[in-house]
This record gives sequence, C-alpha cells and structure tokens, in this order.
Amino acid sequence: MTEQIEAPEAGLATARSVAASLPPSVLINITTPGSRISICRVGTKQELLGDGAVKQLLERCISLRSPLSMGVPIAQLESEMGAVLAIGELMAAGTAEVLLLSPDGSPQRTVAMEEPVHDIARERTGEQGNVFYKIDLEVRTAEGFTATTIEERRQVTPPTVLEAKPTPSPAPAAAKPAAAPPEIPTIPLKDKPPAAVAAPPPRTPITPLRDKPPAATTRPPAPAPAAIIESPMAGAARQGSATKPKEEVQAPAAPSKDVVVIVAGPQKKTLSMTAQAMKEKGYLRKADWLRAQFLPEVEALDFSGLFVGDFGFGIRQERERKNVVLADPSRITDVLLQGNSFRRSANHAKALTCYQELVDMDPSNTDFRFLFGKTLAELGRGEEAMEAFARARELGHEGAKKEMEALKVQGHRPRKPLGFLRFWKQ
Amino acid sequence: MRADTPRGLSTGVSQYGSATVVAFVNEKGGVAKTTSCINLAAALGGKNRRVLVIDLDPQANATSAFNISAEVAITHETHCLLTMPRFALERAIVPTRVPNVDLIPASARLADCDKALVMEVGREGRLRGKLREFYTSVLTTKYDLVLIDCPPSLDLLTINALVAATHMIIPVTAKFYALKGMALLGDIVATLHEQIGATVKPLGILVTMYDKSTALDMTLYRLLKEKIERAYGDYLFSAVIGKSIVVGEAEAGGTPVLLREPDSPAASAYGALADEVLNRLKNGVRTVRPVVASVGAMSL
Repeated sequence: MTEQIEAPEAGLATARSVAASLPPSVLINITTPGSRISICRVGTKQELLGDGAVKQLLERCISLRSPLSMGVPIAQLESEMGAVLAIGELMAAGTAEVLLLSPDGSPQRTVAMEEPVHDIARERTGEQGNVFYKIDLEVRTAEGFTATTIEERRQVTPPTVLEAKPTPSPAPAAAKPAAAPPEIPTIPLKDKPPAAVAAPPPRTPITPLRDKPPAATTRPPAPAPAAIIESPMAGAARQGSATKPKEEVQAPAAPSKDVVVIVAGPQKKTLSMTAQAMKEKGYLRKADWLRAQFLPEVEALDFSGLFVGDFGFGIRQERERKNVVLADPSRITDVLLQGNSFRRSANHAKALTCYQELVDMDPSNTDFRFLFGKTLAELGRGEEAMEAFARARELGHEGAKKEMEALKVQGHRPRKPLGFLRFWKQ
Repeated sequence: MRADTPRGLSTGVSQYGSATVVAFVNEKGGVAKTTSCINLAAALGGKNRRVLVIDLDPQANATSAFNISAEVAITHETHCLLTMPRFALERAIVPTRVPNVDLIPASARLADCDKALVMEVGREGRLRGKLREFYTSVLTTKYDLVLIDCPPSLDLLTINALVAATHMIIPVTAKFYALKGMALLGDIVATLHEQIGATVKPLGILVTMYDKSTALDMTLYRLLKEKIERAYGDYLFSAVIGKSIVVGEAEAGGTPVLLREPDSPAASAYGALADEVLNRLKNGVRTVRPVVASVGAMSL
C-alpha cells in the first residue's frame, strides 16, 4: 500500500510535519459523476474521478496536479495542500486504511484500494445516468497502531507551532466535529520549519481506532483543529441536489475524530475570456475565431520591403504613394476640386487623372466612379466609360443607368464642348 | 590550399562567383535563426556542398553549437574580420566536426563592433569586402554556400550581413510578434537596397517551432502563407520545422541535430529544407506580381 508520493522533496518534508501535527485520519467527502461527465480532468487526459479506483483517487488528491488544486488561488491551494499532503503522509507511511461511511457518518465497510469509486457511489445511491453521487471516505490510520505508537511518533516529531495562524488551544476531541466552530482555521504551510520524520513506525497489532471510544484515552487531543478545505469546484456540487449541505459534511458520526474535510464536486463550468468571446461572436472553432481576429492584423503587415530584391521598388513606391494619399483626408477634397476645375475648363485629360486618383483613393465611392465615367465619355472612350458607369451602378449610383443608356444612344463619340453656355450653366 | 570550383549553384550573382551567401535574419529573437543556420549547414554538408558558417551573433551560439572553444574563437573571430582591414577571411576559418562545414566563430567581443566601426568609412560593407577578396583569391578553398547567422537586432552586424548576402532566409515562428519583426526587416532591407546598393534577395521564409496542436500556430501559419503566396509568390518554404525537444538536446551537446538524431522529424525537416534551398537556388522561386502594383497600372 505504500505508494510513491508525487510531491517534491520539500513538499514531502512539509507533508510529514503536517501529518505529524494532524490527526492521522482524513475524511474525504467527494462527489463523483455517475457517467462520463467531465468533473476532474487531470492535465489533458480524459480521466474521470468516477472511473478510477480508490487508490487513484487518493493519489490524485496527493498529486500537486490534483484536480482539487487546479485553478485554485495560491493562498487557497496552500491551505488545501495541508489536507492533501496529510493523506499522502498516511499512505506513504503505509498506515492508510479507507473506510466507506454511511450517510449518518458511521463506518459502513472497509474499501479496498483497487475498488472503483464509481461502483462505491452506485452502491450507495443505486441511481443511474447522468447524476452525481456523493460518497464519504475516511482515510485513517490502519489497524496496527496503538495510541502509544502515535504518541511516540508525535514525541519524535512534535507538532510545530503554526506561526502564520496561531493554533487554537486543543479542545476536547468530542466537541470539535459536533459543534462546528464559526471560524475554521486553515492550515498554512508557509513559515513551517521542515520537520524531518524518520521511517514510519512499525505496525503492531492492536485494537482498531474506530472501535475505540472517542475520548482521549485512545487518542490524545489533536494539536491542530479540524480544518475544512473546500475547493472552488465544490460550489456547484453543494448547490446540486445530490450533495449534502455543508453542516452535514462537518458533522461526521465519530465525534472524537479530528477531521479534515475535503469537499469536492463537479468542475464549475466557467468559460475563459477567450471562450466567452468566441461564444458571443458565434464561432464554434477556436481556429475560426483566431482567424477572424488576426486576419486584419496580418493583412496590415507590410512585407513588401523583403521582396524589393526580386520586384524592385515598384511595389514599395506604389504602397508608399497609396499610403500617403490615404493618410491625408484633405487630399481627396483637393483632388476633387482640382478635377472639377479641369473639367469645367474642358481639360478632360487632366480631369481624368484627378478622378482616377480619387477612384484609387476610395474605390467604394460611387460619385468618383461616375465622374470618372463622365470624363471618359467626354474624351470619347465609350467602352471604358461604360465599364466605369457599370461599376458605379453596381455600387448603387442612381444616375449611372441613365448615362449608360445615353451613351448607347449617342455612341462612343466624343461630346462636343458646349462653349460659354456650358460654363454659364455650371 | 587547393582552389575548388563551387558546384553548380546558378544564382546569377557574380560578386562571389557562383557561390551563394545566405543570411539568416529576423529582428525578433528566439525564432531559431542559429538553430536553422547550423542544421541547414550540416544538411548541406551532408549533400557534399562545402559550407562556411559565419557567426555574427555576439552570443556566439553558433560557435558553441559546433563545439568550438572560446580560446579558439578569440583568435579566429568575426570581430577581427570586421574591425581589422588586413585580417583576411581565410585566417578566421576554423574547421568543425561536421563534414564539409567550416566556421568563422564569434565571441562576446563582437558586441563592441558597433563602437569600433562607428568612425570607419564603408562600415556597412566590411563583410562584403572580405568575402569578395576571399572569392577573388585563387589560393583559397572556396565554399559553395556561406551561411551567416545574424544577431536578433537590426544593428551594424545585421546590416553587414544583409549587404554581404546574396540571399536571405527569414526564420519566423507562427507568432504575431515574429511576423511584425519580419515586416520591420522589410523596411531595413528596402533602405539598404535604396541607399547602399544591397542586392540581397529573399530565398524564403522558414516557419520554425511550429506546433501543429495549437490553433494559434495553425491559424497564423495559414494566414501568412495565404498572404505571401497571394501577394508575392511561393516564398514560404514547404519544409516547416516543428517544435522538438531533440533540437534543444542537440544544441546542448554541441552537435547539429542531423548528426545527433538523424532519424528524428527535426532532422528530416532540415534535410528537406536543404533540398528546397538547393532547388530554389537552381530554379528560382515562383513569383506573382504584387497586387499593389496593379493600382499604378490603372492610372493614366
């Protein structure tokens, strides 16, 4: 049963010191799914807590990558790790024994380490399908330890004084779990000197602890009080129907036990900011959402300088010219006024250059395209004028259709200048 | 030393004969410039091409990657090559354990090169001058390819490399900052073409450290590929260097990954890259007329 604890050396030393200060009995109140629902995902593996054996459950509790620890703020993690490492200490010392507790808290039977958690949950509730089951497991000192052994053990490694949060004076053990204190202290791991513990004490056959009376005759009062460590995942489970209220969790059947309660439940379905943004925009795949996000950014990057060796400066000069034009909004007005002036004075070639520039600057502007087409028609370039009018019409210009019909009737002949009447009209 | 004839790389560049000088350049650091340079050198060496690697990075990672000691590097280094006018290039060449690959090592002294050359005339073309001298000399062993590992900045060392190089390979990760670094590099290259008369051409864009399991890498790679192919041509190398721990392990061992783990995917990718580089040098790159030029064609 001795397992390799997945914890760093410093963590192991801390675990020993924590376990020395804690009573060697830990209650795990855990909610597990009845089917393959994502509840406790370890890393990228699709392992479910309900699919594993009891041993795996405990190992995951011990592991630093424990689902109980995932996503937990550091401060909370530290307090949680106290209980988690205490379980590890029990298992490492080969003293762990797992008991299944009945709903009233009394021990029901001993659970084998290889027994699936899922089966235990079903045995309890008998329910089927997509529901969560709650089971209470107690990890405790196995048979074979006497009170004196524990006493000796504690004498070898005396409980350290918790500097960060002073330990409350040890109350009678019987009163502790029954009357839940209003403020339940956490177990700070910081500022603790690492108390090295030698090899685990040898096993000697004696009466099981569970059968002993809860008074201090068999077990001395624990130096550390009960601590309730609640993971953030517990919230959803506690609100669900399958979970007991918190008061029930804090009141196990054996009142003499110093209990560390771990309340765990299904992982809260909180979406990350990215996922929320994706959902709001209606993207199903992250790649699509990223593409929509990065497409304008990548398109705005200009790599043309890299290719000057192959293409010459043409691409760069064109880009710079275009950028300069686009960067100056007043230039559109200037070019438009200039083009109109040229057109009024019947200088259609120069006017055409101005209107071409306007079209380049703002290709979506229908008026510019219309003026461009008119000037082309006046120059006698009817086919190009038709194309320009057609484009303007596609973009929604109202007068383009009329001009196209007139152009068809008139043909592609250059219009005669109207002389002074035309200037007077304008 | 015998005068070797460079093997048929028809680059069309005459200043180094038929040899090709390729600079690995990107302003962004950590895009596998050095790794790509040394592994491509090893791959080309394995294909019986004589390759000279010039380490222009003051971090001297390429030097250490070929397991050249600091004592050797300090006497044959690029700093002397750039700052001492009479220091011939062949004096700086150090043989490596990799077949057909030699090295001009670097040391941390190279970081002071900017200051040493600040008052020198023609400081941007120092490396180009040395390479020209080297290739016009009849007494030296010639290299088919010269690969220049540039520092992650656009300083005088990088400018020397760009002026000396006939081609450049731009390693880039599928991350946005790396793409921005590539755009900045384009500005520098265009300026060098315009003001100093550089002739460097893009040989290709090499995507490195590509993690196909992430949506970000996949998306940015596709966007980059679409943009480059649509606007300029097939400049993106089809060989993509994936993220691999083997490469890092090989660096730590002072050996290119092709010699340390020849069967690894990274080694295969660099082998494919070497084939692609040789093919491009021989046949050129398929290009398309840039889209922006059509705006000018519309004007009268």
